[in-house]
Amino acid sequence: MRTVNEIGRLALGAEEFETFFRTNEQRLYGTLCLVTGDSREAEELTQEAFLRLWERWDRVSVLDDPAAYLYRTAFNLFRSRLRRLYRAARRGIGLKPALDLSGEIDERVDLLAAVRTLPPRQRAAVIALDLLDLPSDKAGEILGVKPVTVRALASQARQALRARLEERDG
Amino acid sequence: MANVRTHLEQMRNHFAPRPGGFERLVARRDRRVRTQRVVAASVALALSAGLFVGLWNLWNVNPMPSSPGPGPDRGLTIQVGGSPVDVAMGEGSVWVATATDSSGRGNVVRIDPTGGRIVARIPLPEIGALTAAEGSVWVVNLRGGTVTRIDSATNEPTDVIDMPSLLYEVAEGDREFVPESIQSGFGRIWISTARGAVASIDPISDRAVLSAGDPQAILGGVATSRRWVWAWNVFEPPDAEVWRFSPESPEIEGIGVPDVVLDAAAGSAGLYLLHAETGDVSFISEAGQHSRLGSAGERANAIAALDSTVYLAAASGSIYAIDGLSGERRLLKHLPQEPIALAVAADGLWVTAGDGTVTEVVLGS
Repeated sequence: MRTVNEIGRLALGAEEFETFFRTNEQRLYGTLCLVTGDSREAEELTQEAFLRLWERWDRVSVLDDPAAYLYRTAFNLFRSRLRRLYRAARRGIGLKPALDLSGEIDERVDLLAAVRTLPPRQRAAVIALDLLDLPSDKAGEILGVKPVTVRALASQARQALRARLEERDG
Repeated sequence: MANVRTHLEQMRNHFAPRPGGFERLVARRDRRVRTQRVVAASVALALSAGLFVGLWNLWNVNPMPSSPGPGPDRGLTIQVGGSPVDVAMGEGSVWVATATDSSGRGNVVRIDPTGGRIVARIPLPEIGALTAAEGSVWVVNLRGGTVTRIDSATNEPTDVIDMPSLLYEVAEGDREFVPESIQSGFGRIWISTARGAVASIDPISDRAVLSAGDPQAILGGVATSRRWVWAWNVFEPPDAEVWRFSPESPEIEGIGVPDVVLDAAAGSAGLYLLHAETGDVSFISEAGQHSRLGSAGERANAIAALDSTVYLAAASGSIYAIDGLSGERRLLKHLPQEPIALAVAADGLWVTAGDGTVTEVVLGS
């Protein structure tokens, strides 16, 4: 039987979590759209990452940066699914991305198409470093590779994206 | 770099989640709590119902499928075409599943291992992982949610078997068992889904039943050893876990492992685990004891086991054998292309690669 204080704490925790969710949902979802190239997959990962955080909210809420924990959880889930998708993709069974680009202006479509053609690890690396501003050691932890590997992957990704930008502008 | 970052930020800001995200999250949480309770009771009931079938099949254990006999040291490489996705040995042949396009269509290519001759190409509307046992070749259809059975005597598909619905929802209204990995054992065909469940097919009735499930698990594959059925998840520690259960019992034992499992293979004494980026191999004995064994020393794509020897296909193209007792590693062969999958039996090891080839590695070389 919970005490009044515990119930009050739980209620406050639920409100805090809802605020956290509403503050971070779009940014995480948008990031995962770029990483996965699939809006359905991005929504699934977003929901699952938040749910896992919610299950641990009493411990996560007292961390300095709960959002970092959220992104780490989301990327870990992405890596787990990526390994499945990697095996399926290597088996030639294409799980085609379903990103809705209706209404997009041309330049964004081009670059987004370029992002989507990047190998998943390059995509995740450039997003982790350039979009999420993570230091390479943190990005490496999240992606499960060495920091030097993250930097190399991101560098390869940037070269490919820059080439696409120059091609479009040229 | 600034341009790239600016564009990435703009693109990210463009994507808006569907309205009602928090409400969906609440429903998801409530559903998970409810289904955890349902699963505990329902899995026990389902497994009890399958107990008689399991006992009957154990009583009438079929002998191991015939393995290709030892051959000369030929190191055959055969062009099967398409993109090979899996390879299996059994029913006297080597079987390669190869995709011919990204829609999932493909062929099962049958190879006579003694001569390296392609005996048959069996077209299928959807190709996936496969196993050869019980007089047939069984091919997973990931998109279709079914398993195709091919008679090894005629090379003709004889059945398309529906997978059972999950006992829980993975999304609203979605209970689909999406089959991914397949393996034979105990007179049945075992299939796992990343959606957290294992099912098995009775080759006499072609009926599939659920065997184990957990809505929170994302399973990476299934294997069978002398006493156990095994499945493993794809999570990071501390959630990385291997299941084992007896085909006659509803009880699942979860064994925590210290590293992410990429793939696994059963040998005579237990289950060998291949860990993702490191190429490390660890071992869980039939008694459930986990220990580190050895390593490819580089990223590896696939693992197979025969008796107490483990075979690894490294991403570099190197094919290794690791002694299951000492952990000693030996390079068997180096392929020019990155390997995709491998299968082993008796003196034969066959490896598929992305260039549409399957290569024989004669054991003992």
